[in-house]
Amino acid sequence: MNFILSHGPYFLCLAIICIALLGIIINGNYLKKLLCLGLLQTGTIIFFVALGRVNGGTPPALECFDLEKCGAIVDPLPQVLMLTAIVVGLATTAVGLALVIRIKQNFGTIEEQKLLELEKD
Amino acid sequence: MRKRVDHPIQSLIVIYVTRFLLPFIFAFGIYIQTHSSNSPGGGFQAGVIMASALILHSIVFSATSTLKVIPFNLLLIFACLGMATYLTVGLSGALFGKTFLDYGIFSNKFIEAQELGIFSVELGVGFAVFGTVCIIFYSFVQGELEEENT
Amino acid sequence: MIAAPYLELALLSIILVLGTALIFVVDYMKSIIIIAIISVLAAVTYLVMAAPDVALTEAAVGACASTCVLLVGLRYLEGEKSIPHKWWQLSFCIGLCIALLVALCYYSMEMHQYGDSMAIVKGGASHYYMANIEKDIGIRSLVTAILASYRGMDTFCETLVIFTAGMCVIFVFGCSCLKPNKERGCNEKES
Repeated sequence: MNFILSHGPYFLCLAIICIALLGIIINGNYLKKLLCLGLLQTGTIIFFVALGRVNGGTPPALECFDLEKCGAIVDPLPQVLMLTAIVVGLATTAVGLALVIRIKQNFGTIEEQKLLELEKD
Repeated sequence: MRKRVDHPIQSLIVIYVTRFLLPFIFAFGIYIQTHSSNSPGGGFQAGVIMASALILHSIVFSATSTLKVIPFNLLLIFACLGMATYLTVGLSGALFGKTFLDYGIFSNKFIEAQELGIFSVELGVGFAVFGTVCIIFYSFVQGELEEENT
Repeated sequence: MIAAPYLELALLSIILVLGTALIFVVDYMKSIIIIAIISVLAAVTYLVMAAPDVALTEAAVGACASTCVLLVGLRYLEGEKSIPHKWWQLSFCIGLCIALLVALCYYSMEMHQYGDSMAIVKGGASHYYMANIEKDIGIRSLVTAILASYRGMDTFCETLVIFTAGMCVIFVFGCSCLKPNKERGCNEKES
């Protein structure tokens, strides 16, 4: 029971990542693949932010510069790295969606099986 | 007052609340941009919030009316201006004999120099993200026109 | 909330259940709404984990901008019947993902405990930044100092990536909005 409280958030984040990976493999529809990719990104970012958590720590906006007097701060480095990753995820989702719309306009379908059959002809 | 038949959304409540809220959303974005060194926030968040204000305007009133106020070319200029600001701040350090993105050239006192450098860099990021998110949204909306022309 | 991460566990379990629903839902509109709800819950999770910058970004990007872009793109995609997979394909994929999950969880047992203060290694990068911010930079927000000054080069390249993605979207859709013989502002087709 103890390891659920100590490592539980990590397990749940890894489960979100694996479920999203399953979604990408199973779904033949390109739009669903794109949405599961977004879920994969969300799970990864929660995992990274959870790495930096410190018990009783304050958010990384300093009230005073003396660290011993003002208490613990959570680790700022994972948060900085994930900040830009979120906006980059939006940009890649938009590019992916534009390509999916183009595929639909040119071939009439975004199902993988039907596209493979069209390619064989 | 404009005829309501032009709007995609006809509900009076939505129209009036949007008209009331839009300047506050934009002002909140500017607040987050300028207070990036003292509180949570920065260029990325501010750019997306300001773009959300514009997107809200085009959802409630049609995208044509929004693009009459801020044309598409101006959004493109915003995005390029943001990148150019960041690049200029970086190269000006290199031009004066120090490294790329060195903020020490702005002033002799290091706190002033760092604040100035960080403020201008976050401004560049804010402009670039604002322009890019608006461009992405409007490209999706105008994509219908391209399909009709070909 | 100082000792046990009950709130984080509850929020992450709800996100997990919604993610499982996202895989099996067929309707496009429902899946976009599910991913919008997941983004809002993720923003609350970041707030509980004491990361206000990330929470602000996720709320603005995931809940607002990403949902708007997906909904506008949905106009071009009508619903299609998805072709179901054969049972042996499905069970092989599920087995593969379960094996991956078990392996990752086994190796994550070696990581530090959630919330352990030994996460910030003395002599590591984070400790250096926290100890030297007053001497080097002098502003109050640690995240902005690292983003714009200590790691300014990374931020520059990430902004370049976002800008390039915007240009790619213009090129994929065609530059109809930039043609010079149109009047000021593009006309939306009244459909």
